[in-house]
Amino acid sequence: MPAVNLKQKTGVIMVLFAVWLPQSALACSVCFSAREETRAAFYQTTALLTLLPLFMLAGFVIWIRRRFKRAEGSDIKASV
Amino acid sequence: MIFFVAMEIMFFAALISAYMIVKSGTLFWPPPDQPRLPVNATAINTLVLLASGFMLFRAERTFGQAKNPDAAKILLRLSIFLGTIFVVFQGYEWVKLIGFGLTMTSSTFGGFFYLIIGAHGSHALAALLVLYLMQRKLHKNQLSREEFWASQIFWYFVVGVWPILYILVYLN
Repeated sequence: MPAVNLKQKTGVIMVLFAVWLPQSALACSVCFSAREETRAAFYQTTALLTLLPLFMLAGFVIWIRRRFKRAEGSDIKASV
Repeated sequence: MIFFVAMEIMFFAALISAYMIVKSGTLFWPPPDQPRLPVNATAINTLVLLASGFMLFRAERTFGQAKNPDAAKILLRLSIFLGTIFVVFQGYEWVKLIGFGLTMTSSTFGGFFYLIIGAHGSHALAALLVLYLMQRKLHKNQLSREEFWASQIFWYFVVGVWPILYILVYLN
């Protein structure tokens, strides 16, 4: 029988721990409820959290653009 | 301040999302054994907060006008006063609700109520403190337009997010 070194023993123990230790967990935010309302709420909130930063970013870009245009306009007026 | 408020908007959006998902998974919301929230009294308090936001808006308008510099001071004080009434009433409401048995650990509803409304309350307190500091600066004629504008954005955020929270938490 081939001799098992310390590295292999540690590996076997770690694999056994990996098999025994984990317990069942709720993997996603809607696993606790299978209701249609929960599914709808999940979609709605996903849309909210995805689109909100994009809208804020778009708003910020529009605001910067307007400020630049206003500054350009005042520069032209000053030069005339 | 705009970036800070954007971050805060995402923070509240995350809280609202969690609240909506948990709420959708229950048959009865709020739970039958939990006290009801004071919808009508908080509606009046909502109007007080909106009035505070309007007063701040008027204060900013008059701030730039050299004709009547005292008007901005009065309007800003009025805005702070109305904001303080809102926060004090919220505190009173919390004391009453805790007395009726609605606590952080009494139910998921209670936990979410104190988390969301508490987060808003702490923001309102911080924004009021900022407004108070601005008021002191204005009194000494040391307030710049940029500083005033930054504090306004913070307060408008506190005022603007409240009706959404009121509709979601109190009315639904």
